[in-house]
Amino acid sequence: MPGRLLTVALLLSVAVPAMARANELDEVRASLDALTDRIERIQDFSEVEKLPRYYSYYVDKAQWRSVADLFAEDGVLEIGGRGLFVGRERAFEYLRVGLGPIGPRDGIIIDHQNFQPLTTIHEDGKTAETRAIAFVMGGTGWGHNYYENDYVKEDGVWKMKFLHGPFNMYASYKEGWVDHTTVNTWPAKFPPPPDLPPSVMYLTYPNYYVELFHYPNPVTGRPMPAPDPRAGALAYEQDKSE
Amino acid sequence: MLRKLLIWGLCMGAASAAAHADELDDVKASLEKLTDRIERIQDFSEVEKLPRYYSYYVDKAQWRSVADLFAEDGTLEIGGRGVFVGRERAFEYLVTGLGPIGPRDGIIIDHQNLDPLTTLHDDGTAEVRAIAFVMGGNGWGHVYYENDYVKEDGVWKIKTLHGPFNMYASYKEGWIDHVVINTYPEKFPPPPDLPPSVIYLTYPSYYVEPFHYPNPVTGNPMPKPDPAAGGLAYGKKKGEG
Repeated sequence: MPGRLLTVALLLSVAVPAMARANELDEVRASLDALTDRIERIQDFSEVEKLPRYYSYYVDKAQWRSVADLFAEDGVLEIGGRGLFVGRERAFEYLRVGLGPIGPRDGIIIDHQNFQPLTTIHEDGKTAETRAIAFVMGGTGWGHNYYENDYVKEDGVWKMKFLHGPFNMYASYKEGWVDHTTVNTWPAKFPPPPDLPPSVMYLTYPNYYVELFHYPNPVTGRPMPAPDPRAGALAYEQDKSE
Repeated sequence: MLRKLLIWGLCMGAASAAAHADELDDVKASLEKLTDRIERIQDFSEVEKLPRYYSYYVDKAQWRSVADLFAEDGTLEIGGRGVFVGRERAFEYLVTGLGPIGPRDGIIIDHQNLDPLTTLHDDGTAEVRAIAFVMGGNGWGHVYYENDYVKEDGVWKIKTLHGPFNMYASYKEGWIDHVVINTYPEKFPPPPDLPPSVIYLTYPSYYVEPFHYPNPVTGNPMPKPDPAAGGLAYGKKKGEG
């Protein structure tokens, strides 16, 4: 009888804490999983912020093959008013046929000064969006454009899904943008032709166009007011209550 | 004998459980520390994004969205216009002083926001030094920011927007031939709540906005500012050229 009691006590003393420990271990594992996810997001964020920089450094030296290789196979390119080029190889054609042979040339400076990335990694961990700017010294002109790009993670690698670069301003370098501006490009301006017409029609400076913000206000959570199409551009409606 | 063995077994079982419990406690403590570190890394990213939200909204004169980035008691001070206290006064500065909400034909406002240098403090506040190289209307501007941020209910907000300008110049002549002096409280409405926190002159004079951080290698703070020539100059002793 005392032997039995002792056995029960022994079993309880080992089995009950063991069960408690198993629960605690499960909690620890869950915490680890959650932390691993957060670290994955942080690394995703860094990788996605780097992509427009890879892009700009390649563009500066007319490395069109390297630029196109940043795209997903079904990635889409749309710059200025030239329309949509669908698929990695069509993006390559836009660059190589439209902008000249691969490699830099004497007398041509192409600097895409890329900055101010505002990146959102979506909950699925597989898609992301970035708003960014390029202040461009290109050939004999100045350019200023926003990007609202989409990215996708395929087999652990972030790629360009949609390069969308509406220009604010094209101007000659010597006269500057107060005295001399150039109108937006259009699909037939230079070859090759696009696969689809422009996703939006707009005019560059001295007109204006507001490229949609992909994010809500980070403090209030309110989305931007709906755009109001007029004058060939999209203008955000003024908040009438103000 | 059997009894002794059983007691020995029981003791060993308990000792082993205790050892495991200690190890689990260690793991849990490590996890908490890691969670804090990851939180800080995410805070850093969020704070670095705030000047970008600000600049993109400013570019399109989205004054309500700009003001909504402020904490309710946040303050705004740009150039020499003085201090506007509270989110709604910041909004008034923007909408009354800088024109109606929304972009206008013929006006380009690009606040090219660069070079964020962010410090997270232990108390849920942060500071950022940054630059905006501004194409504004028919002029150039160059401004530093030394902004304070605060985390309220898990959301980072602007606590102090402090943007002393280095230079205002006309676009056509450029900053070698034509500069515009700093703004002042009465330059345009509305009036500020408080006078400027510092009086200084823009280029061709100079002003050194205090650095919020020590040297990251030596840990030495910046030398004390020495008021001279209407501005604050670092690192010069009296009489030095």
